[in-house]
Amino acid sequence: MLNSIILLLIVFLPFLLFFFLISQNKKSKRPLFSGLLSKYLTLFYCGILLLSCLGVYALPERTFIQPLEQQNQPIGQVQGIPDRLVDIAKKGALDSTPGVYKKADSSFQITGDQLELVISDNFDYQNILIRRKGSNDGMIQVSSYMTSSVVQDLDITRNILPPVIKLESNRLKISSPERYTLTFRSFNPDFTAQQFTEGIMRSEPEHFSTFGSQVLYLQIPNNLKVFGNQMNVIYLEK
Amino acid sequence: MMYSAETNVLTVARKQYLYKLKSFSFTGLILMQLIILFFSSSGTGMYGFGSGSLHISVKTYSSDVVVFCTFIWIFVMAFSLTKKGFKNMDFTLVTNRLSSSLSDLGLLATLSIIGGFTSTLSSFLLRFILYFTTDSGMMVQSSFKLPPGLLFQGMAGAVLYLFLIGTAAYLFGMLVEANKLLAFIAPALLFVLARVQSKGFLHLIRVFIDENSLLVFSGKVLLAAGLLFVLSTLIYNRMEVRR
Repeated sequence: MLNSIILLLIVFLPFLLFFFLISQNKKSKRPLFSGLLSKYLTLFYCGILLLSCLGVYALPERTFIQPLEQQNQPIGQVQGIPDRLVDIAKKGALDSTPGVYKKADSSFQITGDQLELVISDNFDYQNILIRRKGSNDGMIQVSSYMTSSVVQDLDITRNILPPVIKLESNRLKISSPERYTLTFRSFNPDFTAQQFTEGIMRSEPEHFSTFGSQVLYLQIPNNLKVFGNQMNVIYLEK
Repeated sequence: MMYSAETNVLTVARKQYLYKLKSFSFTGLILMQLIILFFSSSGTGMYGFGSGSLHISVKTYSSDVVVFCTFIWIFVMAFSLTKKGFKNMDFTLVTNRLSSSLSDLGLLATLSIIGGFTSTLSSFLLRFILYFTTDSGMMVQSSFKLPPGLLFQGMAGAVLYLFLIGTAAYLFGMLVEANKLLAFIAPALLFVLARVQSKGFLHLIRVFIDENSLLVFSGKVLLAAGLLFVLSTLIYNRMEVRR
């Protein structure tokens, strides 16, 4: 704040001198719009500003990115889940545990009794969990789950893209989505307003951020032999 | 001695104020704010971070630039009020130095209110336009709708800052009218003071910007503005009648 004021002063003073020199030489000054038009323009502008202010307060809120607290998710709960994700999966409770979200669900028909896992280098999921089904139905079900991703108290889980899964002749290719950017828009109060809330803001806790944990959950036919990249692959009991 | 109509300073000042206000144009302020808003529509700040294939960037918006430029606008306007051309308007009505100064003070207060109102609300125009022109799903809810109390505090703060700057510029204008050399000496002195006595200078600024209570801030601003205005009036009283 102080730096910006000093910077402003340094920029401001030459500007003042310039204005003074110009104004000395200028005999008559006519406004761009004179008389009634200028008054109407001012009234119109103030009216537009007032209406836009009222309009902003009337806009629906449901589409906005919301802070954790408004989604009834205590930070403690969000912090604890990633460490327990494998245990939750072992219990078969991924779909029923609050704070764990299914991002994508897909099924693939497979022929034969072998499956090669091809995991790309950029795949940054923590674990691939594989559970054998009780039957040999020739179907592979792939689901991706993640815990809350939070950036500065904002829950961005719904904006995270799931991994890309492809089955090509008994090769299950798993990769992260192409590099993508999420651009959020945040509106700060003016410094004139912040000045009177500083006492309150200082007592606020640090903003909480976590990218959460992600797991891939594969349900495969009982007779399928899995080979290929086995890093971070965990086999769950039936 | 007999007069056809008796009048007092406040009545004359009120007439002068209305006359000056009628002749005043806010077109410059509006154009300036709209141009700054246009350039602010791509964000006034940005930060980002990433993990794996995901990169997150947060664009921040505020009307700080609009408020700062409105500060400059009121400085220029208040400075203009002391110029010969504007002061000669007083002579179209029955006037004295005090009524002229009081009408200028009234005009400065009006400019501050309009400047503070428009600069604070300009960010809402930006919010409203961005809501319909960009993906509202990527907007942060908590900052989109300011609590009304915070909005009014911000507006009051902007009005008070504008009034303080306006009265300071009015004093500066009076000093320059009293002696043209002061147009260069006064800013230079201020600059030297800021460099040599930086602690004292910063302390003076901190008296205002570190104040967290709007009520105390109002008191400080009104006191300082009153002092600046009295000084301006004293200087004006010592000038020639019509230059």
